[in-house]
Amino acid sequence: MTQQTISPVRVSVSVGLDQQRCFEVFTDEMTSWWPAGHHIGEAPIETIVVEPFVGGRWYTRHTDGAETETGVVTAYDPPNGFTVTWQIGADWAFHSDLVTHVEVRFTPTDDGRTLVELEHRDLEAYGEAAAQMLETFEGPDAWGGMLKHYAEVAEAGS
Amino acid sequence: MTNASSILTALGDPTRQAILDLLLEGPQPVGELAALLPVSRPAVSQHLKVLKEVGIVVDRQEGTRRVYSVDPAGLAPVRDYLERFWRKSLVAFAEHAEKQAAREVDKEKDR
Repeated sequence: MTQQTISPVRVSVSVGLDQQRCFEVFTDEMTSWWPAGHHIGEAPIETIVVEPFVGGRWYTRHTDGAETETGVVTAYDPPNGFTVTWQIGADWAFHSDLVTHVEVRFTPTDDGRTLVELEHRDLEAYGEAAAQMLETFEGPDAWGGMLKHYAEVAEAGS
Repeated sequence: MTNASSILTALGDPTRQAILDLLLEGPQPVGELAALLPVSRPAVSQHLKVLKEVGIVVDRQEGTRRVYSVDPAGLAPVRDYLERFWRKSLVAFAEHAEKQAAREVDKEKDR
């Protein structure tokens, strides 16, 4: 049977660091640049960790001591790039059975800068996750995020 | 008349959840869905109609039969959201990286 597909999200940016520094700043200093509001814990972010090896955890430690998982490292090739899983649902909770991948590549360019390319793929997993979320459907807030998006798009189109 | 409450209603029904589950594995005609579910074929048709109306399921004619599938565009809101999320995040990364770069240039000058 053919799986439904949805094209990957691809975003890139060029920065004035060499490839090695760029990789370090991206991974080791994620806490410094990650938009502070983007987390799934109850307390603010204390530190974001990408463990530097295949099988390592990508997690956030919060100021209340709690830790929240984002995914695991599936490829680690400094300074060229790395791949992690992103297991955050449309409801902004971690789902062990929702597996999408985020690959980040660092490519040196002639001007001494580095091109950072991020690809978030396997997004069709959100379809399966949606079905699972439906199974636990309990009320209008149960999976508000995705439904709200559905509703906005639907209303915009009607 | 598609709005938030009609989508909630469409997805709140256990049979429609089961139909969506099956369709996520691949496109199916009504008959095969009905064979896999404890409901009649007309009931499956009715549920498919509801799912179609809210834009989560699409259908197409294949010879003599009509085949239903999950509309990948139904997931477009999730994709759009992630795209905005990553764009914002990479801009934040670039700002931080450029600050680091400027600091490193200053250090070089001090040497």
